[in-house]
Amino acid sequence: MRFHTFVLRNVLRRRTRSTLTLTGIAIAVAMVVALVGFSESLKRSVMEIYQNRNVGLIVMRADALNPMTGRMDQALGREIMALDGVRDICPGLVAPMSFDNLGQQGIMVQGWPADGYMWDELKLLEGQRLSAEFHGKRGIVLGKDLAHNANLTLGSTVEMSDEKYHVVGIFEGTSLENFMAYLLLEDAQELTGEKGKITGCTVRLKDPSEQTAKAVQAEIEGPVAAKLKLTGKIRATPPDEFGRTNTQLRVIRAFCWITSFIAVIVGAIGMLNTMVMSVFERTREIGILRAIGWRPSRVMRMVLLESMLLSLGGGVVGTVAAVGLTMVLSHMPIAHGAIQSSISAGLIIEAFIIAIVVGLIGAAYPAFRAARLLPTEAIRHE
Amino acid sequence: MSNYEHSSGNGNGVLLRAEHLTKLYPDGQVNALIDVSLEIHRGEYVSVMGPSGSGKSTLLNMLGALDRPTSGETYFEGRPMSKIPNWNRLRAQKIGFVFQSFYLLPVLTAMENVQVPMFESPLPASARARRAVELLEEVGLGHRIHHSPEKLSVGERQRVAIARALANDPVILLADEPTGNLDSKSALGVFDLFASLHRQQGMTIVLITHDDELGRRAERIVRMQDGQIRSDTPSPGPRPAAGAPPSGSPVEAPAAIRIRPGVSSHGPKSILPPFAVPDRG
Repeated sequence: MRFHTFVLRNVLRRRTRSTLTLTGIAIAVAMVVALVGFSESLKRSVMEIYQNRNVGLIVMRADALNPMTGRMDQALGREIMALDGVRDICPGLVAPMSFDNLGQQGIMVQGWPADGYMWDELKLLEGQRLSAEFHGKRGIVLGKDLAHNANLTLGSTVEMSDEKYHVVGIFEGTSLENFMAYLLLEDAQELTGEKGKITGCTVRLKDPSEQTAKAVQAEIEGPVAAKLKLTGKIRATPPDEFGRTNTQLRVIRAFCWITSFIAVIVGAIGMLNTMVMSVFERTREIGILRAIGWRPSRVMRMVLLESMLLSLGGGVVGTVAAVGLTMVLSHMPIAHGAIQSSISAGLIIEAFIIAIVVGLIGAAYPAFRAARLLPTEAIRHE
Repeated sequence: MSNYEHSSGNGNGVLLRAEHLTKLYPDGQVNALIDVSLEIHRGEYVSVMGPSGSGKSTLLNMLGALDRPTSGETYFEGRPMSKIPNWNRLRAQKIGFVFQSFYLLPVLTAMENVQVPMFESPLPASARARRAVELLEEVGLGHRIHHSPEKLSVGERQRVAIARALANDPVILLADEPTGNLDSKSALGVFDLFASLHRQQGMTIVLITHDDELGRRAERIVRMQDGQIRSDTPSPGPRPAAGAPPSGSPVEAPAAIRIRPGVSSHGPKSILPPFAVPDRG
């Protein structure tokens, strides 16, 4: 018999309790993997939109928590276009809208000018993209998942703010884009009642070097902002920095971690309770082990390994559950493309580390207590 | 009180020497031991007898490096225990314990229970398993090695516990009321096993018992009362029971007991005569 066999037997001794503890850890791990995985995949989805198009800088309101609530004058685009080092720009207006005739709410509608380069990465599956000739004709193009979920096809009509729009194209883009709808910028401005306003502007640079990006960034946040009386109110950030610093993404990530952390704490308390009970119930048995010569360190190792076994079991079950859950969620319309079924190996490693730490925290005190038991007192224990 | 002078004639010298042991439990301000001095020689078979609360178990704990005296000193193989830094190793390598309630681990089979002390030995897993099987065969349980404790009779459980106590080939066996939970048949079987271990392997045995008849089977009897040794005399041997058959139980006892040292050798290797024969006075 090997030592780990002995440890495993102890864990299997109270099957119900071990299963419940393992479930607690599994829930904590699943929460971490699913929620943090969600925030990571959301970030990835957002980043893909810019990285696929070689966007060098993203210009947005610095003071808006949500980019959709920040508004800037469209003239900003023209000023940026005039800067050295800028190849082209694409202003945009994004707003949550409803397809009133279909009862679909919270659909992200994006407006771009007809000649905006952002259109170029949308791979048309059916119909056509919106060009200048559609101006005033209320055409709309849809991401494939949105079209599928809302059961819309070419020629279908959607109603937004009592205006009818006709589906002229269905495309495939990034996972987030597949759940969005697109209008010409002017139509989007009219729809939202914000003529001449944009929520942001992407900038492509002539030269992708960091030096150029920094120079253009300084120009935008300095002289350009000053000219439009937006000093300190706009920020130009490269996509990777945008992914790290975007307040909305950070809030979502923080929320996911906090929620997961609560689950982790609950899991740790469950483990602590289990191991305290386990050691207490086996006080006399531990006394015997000490009497027959087991060192305190071996007793401690036994308790810690029992907890590790439960933690790792919980880690495996939790990861499998989270991957399954994410796969299911990624196919649900409610996910809006923000959830991708791919969970990074790094996150799974993080989750296992958390599971092991939870196990160690939960077992540290009971293991210490078990190791300190005096054989004679433990044997007398009733 | 005078210490019993070693008279076994084997000339093996002192294994354990207790000098003026006193144990005061602070909670009850009770003197569990009062100035107890005692010598245990190698190869001796000593029973410690006395009423409950007389200090027998406390003395056994001191001899077995389980507890420290309030004052006094115990010498193990000539070394003062207070100077031995690692009592765990001492217990693991030199001392075998047998308890009244067996304390076998319910999740393990007989064979696995015997291996538990061997985690503290350098033996690899395969050797531990072989040694456990040998020991169980030697205590007459070769056919029960894969049984869990709950499927064994109480007598068999105590035999497994004795095999466990022998796992690391100790120099002394300390048994605290080893037959306290056994019926008389099983108790006799266990006592015969102790007798065989002592006689054939030269195992030093100190056992506590309430049972005067069983206690007389040792070669020396130490009687305690109120934390002190009242007498320390050679055993008169078992009383002859008129008309009664020999008291060894063929049900609980192995047909033959062959005790062989495993990890290291402390005694002669020999084959015992049939179980029912030994130790009749």
